[in-house]
Amino acid sequence: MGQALDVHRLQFAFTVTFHYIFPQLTMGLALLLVYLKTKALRTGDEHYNRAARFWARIFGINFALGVVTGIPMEFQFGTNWAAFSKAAGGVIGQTLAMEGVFSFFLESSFLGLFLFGEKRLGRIGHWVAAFLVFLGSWLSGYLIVATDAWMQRPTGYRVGAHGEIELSSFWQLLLNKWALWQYAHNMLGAVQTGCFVMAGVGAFYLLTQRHENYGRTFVRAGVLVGAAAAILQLFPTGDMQGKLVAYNQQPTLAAMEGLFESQEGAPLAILGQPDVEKRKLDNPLEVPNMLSFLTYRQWRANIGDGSGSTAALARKIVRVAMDAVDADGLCAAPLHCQHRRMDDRGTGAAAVADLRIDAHCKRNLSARGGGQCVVHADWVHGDVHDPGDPVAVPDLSRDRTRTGTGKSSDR
Amino acid sequence: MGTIWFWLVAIMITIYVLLDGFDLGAGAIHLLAAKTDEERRQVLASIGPVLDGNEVWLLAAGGTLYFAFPALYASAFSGFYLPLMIVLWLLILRGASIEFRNHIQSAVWDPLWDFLFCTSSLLLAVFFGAALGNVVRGVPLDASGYFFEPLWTNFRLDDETGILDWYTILVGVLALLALMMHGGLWVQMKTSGEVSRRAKRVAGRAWWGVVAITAIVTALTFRIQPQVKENFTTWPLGFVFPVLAVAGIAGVIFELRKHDERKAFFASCAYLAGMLTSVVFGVYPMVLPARNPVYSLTVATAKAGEYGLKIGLAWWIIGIILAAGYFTYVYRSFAGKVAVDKDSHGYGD
Repeated sequence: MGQALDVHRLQFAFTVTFHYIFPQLTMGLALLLVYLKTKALRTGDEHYNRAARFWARIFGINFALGVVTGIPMEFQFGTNWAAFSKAAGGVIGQTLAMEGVFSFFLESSFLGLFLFGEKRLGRIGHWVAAFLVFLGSWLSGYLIVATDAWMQRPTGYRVGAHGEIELSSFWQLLLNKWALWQYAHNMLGAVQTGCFVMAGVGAFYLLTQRHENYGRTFVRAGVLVGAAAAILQLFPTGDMQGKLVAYNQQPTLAAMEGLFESQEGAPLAILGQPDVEKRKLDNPLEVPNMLSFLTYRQWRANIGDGSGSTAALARKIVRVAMDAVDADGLCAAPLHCQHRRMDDRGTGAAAVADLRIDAHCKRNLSARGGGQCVVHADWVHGDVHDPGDPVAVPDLSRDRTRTGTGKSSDR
Repeated sequence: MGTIWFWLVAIMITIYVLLDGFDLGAGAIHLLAAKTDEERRQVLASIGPVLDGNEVWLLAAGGTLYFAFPALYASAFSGFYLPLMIVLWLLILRGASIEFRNHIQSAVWDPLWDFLFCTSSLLLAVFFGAALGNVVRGVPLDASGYFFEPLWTNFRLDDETGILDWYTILVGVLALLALMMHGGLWVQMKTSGEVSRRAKRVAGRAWWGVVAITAIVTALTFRIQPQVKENFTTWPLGFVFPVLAVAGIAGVIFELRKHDERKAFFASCAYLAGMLTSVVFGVYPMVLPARNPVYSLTVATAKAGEYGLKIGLAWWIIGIILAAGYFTYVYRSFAGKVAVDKDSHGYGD
């Protein structure tokens, strides 16, 4: 069984990775095509139209490959992850179906017009077609990122009586904070891919002294747009994306950075090979304290146990304390509330409130549980806030602010 | 709400079959109807601008199915693992052969791409038909809500069914003939000259096969899936669907004789729509019948949460109205017969 699971994971990992080679190029090129078509429209220079035609062909074939490599992905949600689809299909099906209905139709209809219909459409019409192809592909990107964001940081859902996951708030699903930042970060990456390809082709033409006219246009567009995208990708989007991982998925951050133990003043590993057996990084090349600083803006902040300078807060999702608390606390993410202020709904749905009650029943928690409530990583869902932020849960009727709830873990 | 989504998904699948049906059909008759390179380019040009858009209906219908009936999606996609992988390869081969033929102009490679395009289209039609046959016949679902079917077992309709048995193969053949007719009618409408005449002849011949096998399959279906008979006797209004199919198929030969190319194609659309809606009406409220009726997945057991379905209806309606707009516009832009000029991309120079 374990082997079958590994094969499934490998197959799916290959499918998504291979698929994404194409969309990241076409999403970036889509923007650059709009740029070239806009230039052509505004300057009236046929040069830009010819440049756009050149890239339209490259765009077209990569787009087609993106579509055909995307179909296996959709299939594999069912063939490889049937149980997950059955449980969560009602939620992530929303965004996936919206992608089909809103963006696929838009893209595919106008791609045909864009590629085959320049003569029929006229100058402005052709620009509109280019813009709609861009719009469709970027919308598609958002809906897919929103799907992934829900899997990384689930919001707007409830668990039904038979364990099925139902949507409870459409807008929370769609406007997931994780989705917004990941999308910005991701699309800037796509733009850079497009820019590198365009600048690369341009540079090749310049160096081989062929089509130098086009070469200059390609290099200029690629380098200018690419440089801007690269800066924005680092800051603020990359920074924020990293923080979201740090606040929501401490173990993910630790794994990404090759950090085996919780550590104050954690270094940023530039290079190194993780040795999983000895739980250390071989041949490390590290910038001291950097990871702590990047994550919490404090050089000595603790990375790995979630107690950095920011407290993590799980809310409302953990319905019954025993769902959440693993008696042994193994493989668990600690749940902290070091806030001064914290909004506990007082309705019994709040994770922390439940935990506090059960924490007094010693047998439900291991010895360590007295000080820190240890919650299974799988079950900690929900918002994580910057210190001092009150937590608002819009879909609960009673909303009163209490200070100092969850004291048991606030020792 | 579940019933509404049952019909919406059914409508999306029907639209997919009408649209992608003609380009699959055009592919299936590609080698028969078009002999020279120029004729073959005409066939490809007749479907080129709309092909991607048509296939998107499959994705959109799949996505909608996933969202509205997650349990059905999970069960069907893990149970039909093998045929889905085959369908996937066929879709990829088909897409790739069209792209390669357009981008690599070589007399050496062209026959291979033509052959791949034709056979993959042909087999897709058969597999889609067989899939429909499986749904009507029922699959070996058990209490867990999952099943697995091999490609074939002993070709009989007992408990250990495979994807292919004599019934589903027959439905597959019917699908192939129906789409050959449909595609032939499209090609004769969109092209001119010899290729148009040959496509018309192929469609006319396929028509006889369609009529004969439709009659046989219909009779068999009433025996194999008792729900169909029950539904038609409970709600006699449902007979509009088969009537639409009969009118459509009669219309095809009638209009072909009159040489009205457009009306013949639309009559074929009516036939396909009538057949599919009849099947959908026949199996309701089941979404995936089981060989043992106790375990059948129904609208009520497979649907997603009520809130999600309601919200979905709002954006679905907006999205489909937009999509209908795009499609009308695109088909209008490419209306009329195709002409094959040197540069099929329609660029100015």
